Amino acid sequence: MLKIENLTVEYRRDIEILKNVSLLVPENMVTAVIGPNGAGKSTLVKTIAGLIRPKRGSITLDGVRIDGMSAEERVKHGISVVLQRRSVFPQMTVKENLMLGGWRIRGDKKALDDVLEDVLELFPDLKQRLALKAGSLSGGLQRMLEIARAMMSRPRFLLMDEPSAGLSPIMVRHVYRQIDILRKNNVTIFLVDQNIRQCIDAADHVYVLELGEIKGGGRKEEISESLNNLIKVWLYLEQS
Amino acid sequence: MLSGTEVTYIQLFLGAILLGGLYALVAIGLALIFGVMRILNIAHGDFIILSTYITYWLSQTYGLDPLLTIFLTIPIASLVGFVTYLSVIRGLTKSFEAPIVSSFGILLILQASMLIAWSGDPRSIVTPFTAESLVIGPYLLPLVRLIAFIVSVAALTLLHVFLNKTYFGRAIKAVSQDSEAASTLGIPVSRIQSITFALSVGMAGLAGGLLSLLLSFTPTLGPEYLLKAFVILALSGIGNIPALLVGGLVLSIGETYGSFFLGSGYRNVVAYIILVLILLLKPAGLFRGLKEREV
Amino acid sequence: MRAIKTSLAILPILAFLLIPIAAADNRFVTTLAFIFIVYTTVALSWNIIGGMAGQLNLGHAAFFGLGAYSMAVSTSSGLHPYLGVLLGGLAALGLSIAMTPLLRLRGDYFAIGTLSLAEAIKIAILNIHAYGIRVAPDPSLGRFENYYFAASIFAATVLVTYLILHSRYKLAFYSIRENEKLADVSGINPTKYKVMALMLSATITGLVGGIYGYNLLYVPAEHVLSIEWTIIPVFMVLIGGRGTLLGPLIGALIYLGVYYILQFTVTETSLLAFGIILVLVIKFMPNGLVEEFLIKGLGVKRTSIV
Repeated sequence: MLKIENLTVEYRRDIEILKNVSLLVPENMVTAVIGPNGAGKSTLVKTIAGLIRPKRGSITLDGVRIDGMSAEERVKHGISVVLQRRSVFPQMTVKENLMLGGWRIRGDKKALDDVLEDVLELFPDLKQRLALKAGSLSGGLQRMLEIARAMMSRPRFLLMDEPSAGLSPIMVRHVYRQIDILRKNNVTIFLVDQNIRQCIDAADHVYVLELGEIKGGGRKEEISESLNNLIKVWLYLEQS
Repeated sequence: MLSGTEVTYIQLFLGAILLGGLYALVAIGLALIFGVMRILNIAHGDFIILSTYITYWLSQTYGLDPLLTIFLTIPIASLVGFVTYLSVIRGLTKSFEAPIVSSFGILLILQASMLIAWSGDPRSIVTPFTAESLVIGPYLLPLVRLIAFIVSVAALTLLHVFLNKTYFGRAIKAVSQDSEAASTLGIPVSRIQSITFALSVGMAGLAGGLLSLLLSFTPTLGPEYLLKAFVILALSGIGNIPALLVGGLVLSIGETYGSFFLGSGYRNVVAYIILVLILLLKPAGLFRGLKEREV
Repeated sequence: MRAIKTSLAILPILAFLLIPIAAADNRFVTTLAFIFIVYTTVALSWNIIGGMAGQLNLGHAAFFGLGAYSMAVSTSSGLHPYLGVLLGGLAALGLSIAMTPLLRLRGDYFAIGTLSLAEAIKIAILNIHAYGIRVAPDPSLGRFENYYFAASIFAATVLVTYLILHSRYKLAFYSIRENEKLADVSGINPTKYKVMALMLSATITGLVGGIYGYNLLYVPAEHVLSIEWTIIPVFMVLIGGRGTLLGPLIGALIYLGVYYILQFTVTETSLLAFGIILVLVIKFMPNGLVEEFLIKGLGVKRTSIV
């Protein structure tokens, strides 16, 4: 289980992007954090991933404090992240991208082959395109590649920053289908997204983040009345 | 039957091609550091010349064959690079001018050290084969240039294979294409940067060593080779070793014919002229397609 | 506080104006002070393009050398020496205008581009005048007069720097230095200001180069175009604190200290010392000594940016 306690993250000096954020990410479930633009969702993901250092607070993974670790070290503890922006290695092929995802286990050829096979099972669209340069793929396929690549290290926790960003509605559905499959494969998923509908549908736990503060959250079914109303308003706005 | 002038032109051309390989080697070090760390190592030329002097000193002091000495120079240069990285480059303030000023400081340190150790008088290495040439028809291929060419191309080929076929090499490419993404895969970005820096200076070491066979040198020669490397990168981009070879050829051909027509004193001005031409024709900036540093 | 800062800036100027009178017989002191003024003025002028506007011009020596060279050529052809100096300033100004395409380059490329340009100019001039040009002295213009000419350029430069730092130009330059794209979209035209800064710094340096060359009565290309005319001013500015008035002045004092300790010649050892100090300062005190000691150490308030 991933435990985040009193996380405070500053931008430059004195501007707090995240204020005392606390939440729990239970295993084998999908936990989602929703909130409007500028709420700090991306910052939250990046801080858990190790790309941003918090000013205060702690991040604990199964009892082990990881907030002092570099991003590379966190991968060893089973954390993988899919960034919001395009992050494939554009000049390298799909296969090379995937193999780099397997960096952690690069010494073991057999394990690598197994992981590659498993991952390609989950992402058959990539199987046919292994020799293509990653930069030449469509947006949706690049996103698939990013997820597949993140899966190559057999992470226990997969962090996703706005997986639907910049994708057509069909691709968004496709991505969330993948997320569901991953969840069924015992991967714990923590995701933030502006696409509220899909996000909530996929999630087991939901938190609401507004202006850097957690306004509440918990199991989807048990969300408080006020929070529910807030979400309903956002969903309505999303439709229009 | 070719006329005298035609033979001369072809002779010049052949000489230029041989030099072009070495020039590409001169450029690769700069490309590696820039690719992986987005730092333009202003002291790059001086690392090359330092290696030239090291080769000179080792072969003079221990009476070793210069060619073999070069193989000693490479690890020494890599070590110097590694130490430089650890003491100066790593953990540099994120401001955009800190790397430039730091490498400028290193330039000063290197040049001053060389001046102190070996004075400003020109030095050169003479070997049994310095004046020898391979004769093919009416053409002379100077042995030293031939050796420089073969060794350079071999080294570049090895590097190419390393970067594209090994895990570590691909990790280096990954860091150069997207260092943040690479770190999220568990790739140790900082370690890759230090090793790449050492590798780059090692390549400079090889280039400097070969240079010691070709010409007489003084401690202030560094910026001249920095310019050459920079112009080649501007011509060829940084992602592609074969392109670097072409760029090296273009530069050496330009220099050779340029100095032939304008006079040998103007040889180095050619590089500058090419640079200005590129600037005027590609005003959108050099290295298009490369991820711009976030402003 | 304002009074303290102003007097800190004016005192050295006054002191320098008085030196030749005070040390009338001691030619050595006057010469030393002259050289010091020359270096400091070049530093202040580099400060405008490199310190305030953030464009690291590593080819600054070209302005100096071209100024000296133009002065030498024109004076040898019969022009009044001080007019020759003015011509030197104009020549450097012309060079800076020719250099404006380089300003399109991003930081590190600009640094290499200007470094290479200075090298190329040096090579070109060496090819024409390998041994330098001798300048016949005008009997009415001796060391005394040269000193005051240089001192007046120095004083003018201090004044110009002061005026810039108390005008809207300060904000324009600083914002270009910190984040050019942001400055651009905020309505500040970076090109206009960068060109202005370059032209101003070039003209001043050209003038100083001219008077230096005349005082020396001999202009060898290798010396006046040598990279030390870039290194030492850059060193002074970065050590002291770029973009400020006090910074280069303090950096100049420190330089004089190193110079004195190393016995008055820009030898290899002093180059080594400069390199090491530069690296150390950038690593541990990236904003220069003024920032570290005066502002953080003694709590002197930084003047606001607007």
